[in-house]
This record gives sequence, structure tokens and C-alpha cells, in this order.
Amino acid sequence: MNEFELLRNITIGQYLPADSYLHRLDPRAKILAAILVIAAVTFTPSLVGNACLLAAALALVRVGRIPLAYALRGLVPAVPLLVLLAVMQLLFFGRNYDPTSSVVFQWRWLAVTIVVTAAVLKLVVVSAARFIELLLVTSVFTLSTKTTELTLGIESLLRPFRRLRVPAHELALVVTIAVRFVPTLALEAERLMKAQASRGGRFGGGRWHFVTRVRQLLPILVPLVTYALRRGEELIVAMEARAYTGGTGRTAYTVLASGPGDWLAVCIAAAFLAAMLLAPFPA
Amino acid sequence: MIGEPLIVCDGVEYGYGEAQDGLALRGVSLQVSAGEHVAIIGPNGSGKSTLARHLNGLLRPCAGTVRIRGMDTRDPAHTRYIRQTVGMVFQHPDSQMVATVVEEDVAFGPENLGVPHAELHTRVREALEFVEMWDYRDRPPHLLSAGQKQRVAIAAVLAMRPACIVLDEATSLLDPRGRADLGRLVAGLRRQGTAIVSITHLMDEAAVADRVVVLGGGLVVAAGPPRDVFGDAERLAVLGLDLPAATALALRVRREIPDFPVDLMSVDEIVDAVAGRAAS
Repeated sequence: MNEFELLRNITIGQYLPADSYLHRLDPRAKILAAILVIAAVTFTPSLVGNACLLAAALALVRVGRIPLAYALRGLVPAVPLLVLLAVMQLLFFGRNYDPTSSVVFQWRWLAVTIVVTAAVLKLVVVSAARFIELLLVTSVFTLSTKTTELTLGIESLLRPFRRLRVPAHELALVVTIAVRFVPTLALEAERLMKAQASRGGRFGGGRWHFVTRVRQLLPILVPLVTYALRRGEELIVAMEARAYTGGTGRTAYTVLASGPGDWLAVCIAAAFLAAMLLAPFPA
Repeated sequence: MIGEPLIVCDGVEYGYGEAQDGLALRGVSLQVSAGEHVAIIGPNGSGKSTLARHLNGLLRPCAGTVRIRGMDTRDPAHTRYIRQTVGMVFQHPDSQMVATVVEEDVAFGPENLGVPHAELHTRVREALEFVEMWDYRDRPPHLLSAGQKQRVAIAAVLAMRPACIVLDEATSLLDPRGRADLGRLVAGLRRQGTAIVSITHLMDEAAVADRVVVLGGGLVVAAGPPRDVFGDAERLAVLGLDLPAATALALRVRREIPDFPVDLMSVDEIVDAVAGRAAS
């Protein structure tokens, strides 16, 4: 009954325990470093630059002591999207994107003309590479960061902005509760699907039958939302019963402490970003 | 062990929504002393849970007063102290946990109270060790059984160092083993001098209390030691309530042996009564 086991397929916030430099890193430093690396991915349009980035992303997987196969498995669900993106780019960009570029391939049938230029080919490769780099970096980040560390990191980083009325504590609490309830709701969805299957409901179907699959989910969605609202209401009462009155006057169980090793990671990431921006890669 | 009144409810009335729907509580008066174990029983819709929610200021009475150590629950200035004094454990194990890890969840209450960082760790450890869940401190809640979740919920309340714990049907979704574990915990808490108010459908749970309060239609219809309350089988039957298993058995024995005692609350008491008769 593979199609019922939703919990196994959920990778959001999944944590892979290991003893690595990345796992021990202060979450605040890790968040900042991740933002810098993602900026480097975003601002590098060249092929050589992306090759460097891909190598850097794989190096991060290694530093985080995450099995390469495990990290790559996270890419599998993105493959259909990547293929779709590439096909769209090949079919429709034509000469509109960089008209000065030389034509590599041309095909004409009645009124339909498909033109692929060198610039479009490069774009296809670069955007696929960027996508893979982003996925690798973010999954290394989530695989090496506990959710409590993540929310504490967010809260701590946003604290200076409290004067600008950024609700740092509340945002962190919202993230925590959302993450906390992902498995609870997944289990409930599983229960609902089994209950409906036992009364003749049909689930599953081919991997590519998106429409059928979405339609099958509708009868699950309504009771699931009701369930979520009811649990949410009970949670509010339980929180109030435990003297929750908002962020003021609270103390923290876990307190983050960062050392020079943590800020070294941010420095390396910043240096990496600067290098990617300044390096004279061939366009 | 039973000391000054901790909770005093005086003529509490409460209605949900429109007044013509009728009141859920129609003038309930009740006292809970420090260290006392009070069981509140009654059929569905009798106002048990509504009453429970008045005991730590989650609901505030429309008429009458609820005082916790003399503090009126209607005064918002006392809310934090009242919630610390009277802790609550709810029925559904899943919707009481806020954090993604057990120890963080237990810390949530004392964090709200502003307990200093150094003391938070001792409190969390003590509470989790008391419920025998310290080894599970870094687990996410969805990987625990229902009984374990309820034990964590009790630890979460204990970490606030309450004088009284209200269990609002906290065992109703547990299997017999989880129920027995929770029963042992409650007994342990009582030895420490914590007052317990348990709202329950299970008469065997009520039978171990110091005092049983029977609610019906938003009123207290009977109150007293379990022996007295369960001795009046006819009135309980009118309310649609069961007897504890031991009392029910004693009643059936009485049909055969007219002078067999009926105010028996536990298997041990039945055994003693039978052994006593066999000896004589």
C-alpha cells in the first residue's frame, strides 16, 4: 500500500543526523551563509561559473557528510519539472532570446517553425544547472539543520528588526507549529485515504496522470482542512492553558551560542560570492 | 495532607452563545483543597468540560465567582499566576504539543512564565524524569504513542510547578496500558501533595478519588466520598452512569447473598470481603 504512505515522501524539514562541520554550525551563521551561496547561484549566468557552483554544491554535500545518493534522491521529484522547463525553452524562445546568436537547429513544418540558437541552448543548460544547485544547497541546509535550530535562528536574526514592528517571535512560533503539524496532518490524510479506500474510493494511478490524482485528492482535502482547523482551535486553548500570552516576558530554553568557527563560514560564503561576481568568466 | 481550599467555585453560571440555548452550568459550587483528588463525573453535556475550563480561567463565569487561592479568575492581572497554579491536560494528545521536540515542548510553559534559563533545564529534566520520558527528550512528538504523548503533556504541566492538575478526560483515548501508566503517575503526584481534578467517563478512575462530584444538566446532583456516591446505584442509573466494576460485582453478589456489602470500590476490597465471609 505504497500510495498511502505519505509520511515517507515528505522531505520538508527532514533532518539527517550526522556529526559534521555543517551540522554543528550555528543556525544563524548557516542561514546567512546559505543566503550568500544562493545569491551566488542567482547572479552567475556563465557556463563555467555554473560548473564551479555545481562543484561547490557537491562539496557542501561532502562537508555535510550527507550520502551523495541521498542528496540526489531529493532531485528526482524535480526531474519532470526540469524536463518541462527545457522543452518550453527549446520550443518557444527561438530568435526572441538574443537574436544575434547563431542558429544551431532549424525545423519547419507548415506554419510552424522551431529555431534553436546557441544562446537558447546555453540558457537551457544554465537554468537546469541553477535549479540543481539551488536544490542541492537548500537540501544540504535542511538535512543538516534541526527545525528548532532553524526557528531559533530565524527569531534571533529578525530580533534587531523588532523596532520596525517585525514580529520575530511570532513568526518563529508560526514556523514551529507549521512544521510540528506536517506529520500529524500527513498521518490524518493517510487515515482519511484508507477510510475512503475501504469504502470503495480509488487512489493511485499513473505517475503522469496529474489531473486524476488531483481529482482524487479533493474528497480528502475538505475533511483534512476541517481536521486541521479543529486541531488548531484545541492547540490555542492548550497554549493558553500553559500561560502563553505572547512573546513578551518569555525566556528561552535553548540559547544559541556562536564561536569564531561559525562566522568563518559566513566569511567563506561571502568571499565565494565576491569571487563568483568578480571572476572574468567567458560569457 | 488535605489543607486550605485551593479552588473555590461559588454559584458558577455559564452559557455558550445565545442565552435561549440554555446554560451549560447553572450555579455550580465546588471546593478543591490542596492535595485533594476530586473526580468529576456525569453524562455527556452535563457541563463537565465547561466546569474544568473554569478552573484555570480559560472560561470566565457569567455569574458567580471562581477563586484560585483567593484570586478571582475574572481579573486579567492574575491570569498568568492562575494558569501556573492550576495546570490542564486535555483529551486529545496531538493538539497539546507546540514544539517539534519533546523537551522544547515541556519547556514551553515555564518559558511563558519567564523562568530563568538555568532553571528551565532542571525543571524540564525533573518533569520528564518523573513521567519516565527523559530518554525520549529529543524525539519529535509524532513518533510517540498516545500514552507517551499524554505523559509528555503531564510533564509539560508539571514543569510549571502547579498546585493542582486538571485532567480533562485525559485517558479516554488511551489503551488500557496507557491508562494504567497514567493512573500510577496520578498516584505519584498525589503523594507529592499535588491536587488532582479528574474529569472522567471511567468509574474505576473515579473510585480512587477522595471525593466524587456528579454533574447533571449543569448542576451538582451528588457529591461525596466514592463509597457514598456509588452506594446510591439507583440515582446513578437515572443519570445514565455506570458503577465501578467492583461495585457492580458486589451488587450482583448481593442479589444472592443479601448481607454482602455493596460499598466496595476495588478488586482488593472484594477479595477481602469474600475472604472474610469464608473465614467466618
